[in-house]
Amino acid sequence: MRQLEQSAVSALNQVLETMFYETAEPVNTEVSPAFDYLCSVDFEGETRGELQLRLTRGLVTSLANNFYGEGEEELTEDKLSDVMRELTNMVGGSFLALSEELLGPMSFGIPEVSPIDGSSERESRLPVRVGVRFEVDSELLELHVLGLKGVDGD
Amino acid sequence: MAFNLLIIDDSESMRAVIRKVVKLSGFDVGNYYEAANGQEALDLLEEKWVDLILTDIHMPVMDGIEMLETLKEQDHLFSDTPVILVTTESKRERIEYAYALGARGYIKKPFTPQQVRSLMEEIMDVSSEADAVNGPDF
Repeated sequence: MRQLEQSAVSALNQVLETMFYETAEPVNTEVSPAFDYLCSVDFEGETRGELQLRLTRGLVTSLANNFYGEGEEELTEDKLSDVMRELTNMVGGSFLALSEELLGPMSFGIPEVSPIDGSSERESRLPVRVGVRFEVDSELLELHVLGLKGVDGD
Repeated sequence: MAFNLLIIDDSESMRAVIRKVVKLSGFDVGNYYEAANGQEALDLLEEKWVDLILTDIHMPVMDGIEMLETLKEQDHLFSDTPVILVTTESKRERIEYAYALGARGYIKKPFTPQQVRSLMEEIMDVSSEADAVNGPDF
């Protein structure tokens, strides 16, 4: 497995297992699920890049329940957004830590969350370097790493 | 012995989770206090007694490093209060700078209750196996 992909997969699992009590299994499926949220965080150093997560509302709700230890009825939209930002923040931070030898020191920005409704999805001009689809708690999740020009993670 | 704990993080969710994890860890806390950034924390320290601070680094208004700088520069009443960084930050020079400013420990997110408890006990010297804190564990 390519080094960048391996770091991204490890980062996701590290965060899910420790803070959300879930595991992510990479899957090969032709089914293109309707994701509800796009979470992203930029990073910058000698090069620049972006990490993106696409999630369904069902998975976000399930992760939020595990994160807070609360019942579904107590989860507000703000709480769901906050959980997605924390998830993205931790996966981004772990990915950079695991890739430090390859990427050098990098800073990362503020995680952003946006709904995917066909009109407002944020476009990135950066090329996709890593794209992995996972099954988590019977729901699908996609992880992409974009950019990182000049980095040979193959 | 119960300690008053101040949790500083701009994410309300993360503050709630840190609080939950500390409770799960069994560490003996008297009062929990929360602040959303360094400035709120400094304001709170004007009114409350705090024995231990857990702080994020990346926060709006005043980040964790700026708060440490302020505590150190102003010879603050709480300048000797132990501060543990709870952060996704992993840049060595940034963590080392925080230690130079007086931070006593470093927990990288994601974290387990065991990691939190063991570091808090070590720093507050309440564990029978407590050792000196030597520096960041990257």
